[in-house]
Amino acid sequence: MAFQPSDFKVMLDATGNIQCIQGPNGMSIPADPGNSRYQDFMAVDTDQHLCARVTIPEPVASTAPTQEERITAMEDAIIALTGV
Amino acid sequence: MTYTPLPKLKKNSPGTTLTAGIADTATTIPVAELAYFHDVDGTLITAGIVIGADNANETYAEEITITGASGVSGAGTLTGATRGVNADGTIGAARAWDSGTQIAVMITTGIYGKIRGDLIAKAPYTSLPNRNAIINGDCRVNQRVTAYTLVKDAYTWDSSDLYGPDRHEGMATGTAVSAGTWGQSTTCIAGNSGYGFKFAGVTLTGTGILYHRHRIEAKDAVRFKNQIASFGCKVWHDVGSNINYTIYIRKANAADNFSAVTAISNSGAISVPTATATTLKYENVSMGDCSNGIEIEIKIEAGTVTLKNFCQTELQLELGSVVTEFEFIPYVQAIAGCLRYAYALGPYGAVTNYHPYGLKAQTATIEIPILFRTRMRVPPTLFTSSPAPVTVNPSGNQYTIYDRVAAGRLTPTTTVTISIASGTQEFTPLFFVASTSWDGSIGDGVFLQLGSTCSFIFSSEL
Repeated sequence: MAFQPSDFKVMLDATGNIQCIQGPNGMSIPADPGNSRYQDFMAVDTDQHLCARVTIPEPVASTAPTQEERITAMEDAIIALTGV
Repeated sequence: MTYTPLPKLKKNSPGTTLTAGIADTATTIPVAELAYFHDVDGTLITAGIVIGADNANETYAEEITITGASGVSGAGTLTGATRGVNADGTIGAARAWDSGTQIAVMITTGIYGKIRGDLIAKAPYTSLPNRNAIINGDCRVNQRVTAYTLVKDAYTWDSSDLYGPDRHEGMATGTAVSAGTWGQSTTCIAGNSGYGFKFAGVTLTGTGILYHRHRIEAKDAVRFKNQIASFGCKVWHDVGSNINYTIYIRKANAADNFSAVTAISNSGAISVPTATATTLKYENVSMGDCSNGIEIEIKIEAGTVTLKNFCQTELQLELGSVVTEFEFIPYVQAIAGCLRYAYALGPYGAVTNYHPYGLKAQTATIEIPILFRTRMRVPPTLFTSSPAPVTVNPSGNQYTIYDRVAAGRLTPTTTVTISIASGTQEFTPLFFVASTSWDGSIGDGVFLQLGSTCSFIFSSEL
């Protein structure tokens, strides 16, 4: 099967390391030289890095309360209502 | 070393005598009693015959083989004698013998050599477990369930590992490949179990050819390095006329990398009659240095066919110069072998309930750790059936993320990408990343629920 560079998308973390490679038909390929899909990818990516690179953005801190914060809020509410 | 059956001996190895003197070149040996050269079944004993059997100096005795006798009992002649077999210089060499010299069937150097040769050729491999290097050779394991719809010139896993039986691939070629699938059969006529690999309902035009391929990883191929090996399988087809099958054995040029291979040898065309379960054997193959991995391919010259079927089963590659009976292993061992190359979550044929647990790791990311059942060959590739996330009980090719804390199904905003990170051979995280966010709270425990045809295949196939 002949793959094209457009078949693959390299997902990089914020430090530039490969997290995985998205291939055709929903493939998610680990960067391991023994993996035959990674071998397919390397054959088309070549040293010139012909496949697209996408940096995964750093996660944004959530504004939603954490589980711990929710429990604490619930405990505070119980204390406020019951006094104990 | 080739297996050759041993001759039966006479009880107590009774001897008789030469009835006339013989020269060292004589090939006809006159004896007083021919019955002593026939076994209990009346079969002529052709090896292990010693002239001078009672000689005090045993190195003086001469071993011969024969091809015939003038009768089965009484006085007569042994014919077609080869003299001085297994001689060591002058010891045991052909010589002239006097009339009255003892001659008998004995345990000779030649018989000892046959026993040794037979042990080397056959005994160790017919009795030892795990002699078959082909995993899932009888196709009982079919984790992916879904058959592969044949695509011209494309092997099963050339584009997606979601299809076909474990560890084996099928391909079709021809002027056109109009119909056909590659999958598991439970009604295979060849073999004993009913299970087999099947090209079903195949329609090809022009010079139609089918291929069945199996690859053996380097760690298992090393035992064949510079050894003699034999391959066998059982096949069946309903083309309506004889067609040719050819077995090809190749080796990978680099360890576990089959993008370039080198031919070891092939069987040449073997004619297989229609509608007849047939055993194919390719024996006594010098494997050379095949330690990078082995590829076996069965080529089926189907020709122009319409809606025909082809079944292969009981594939076995083993050390030794002969093909032995197929090694039927317990199912638990068969599937354990396959799990090193593929681990499947689904398809289960019905909606699942409490599947692997994970958590909402980040605003947009659900993370579910996947622990493999055995050490996979390499960190595997994830293949999905591209299921759609839903917020109701999933059906068909759907899935849902259920939040155990909020006791409800999570809704993504909006599209979801399913991926893995570069995990290990034992573990990988499975990510469901929404383009913006998932509802629910970070840290919530979640589980994955699959519809009946939804599947996630973790594959490290070769």
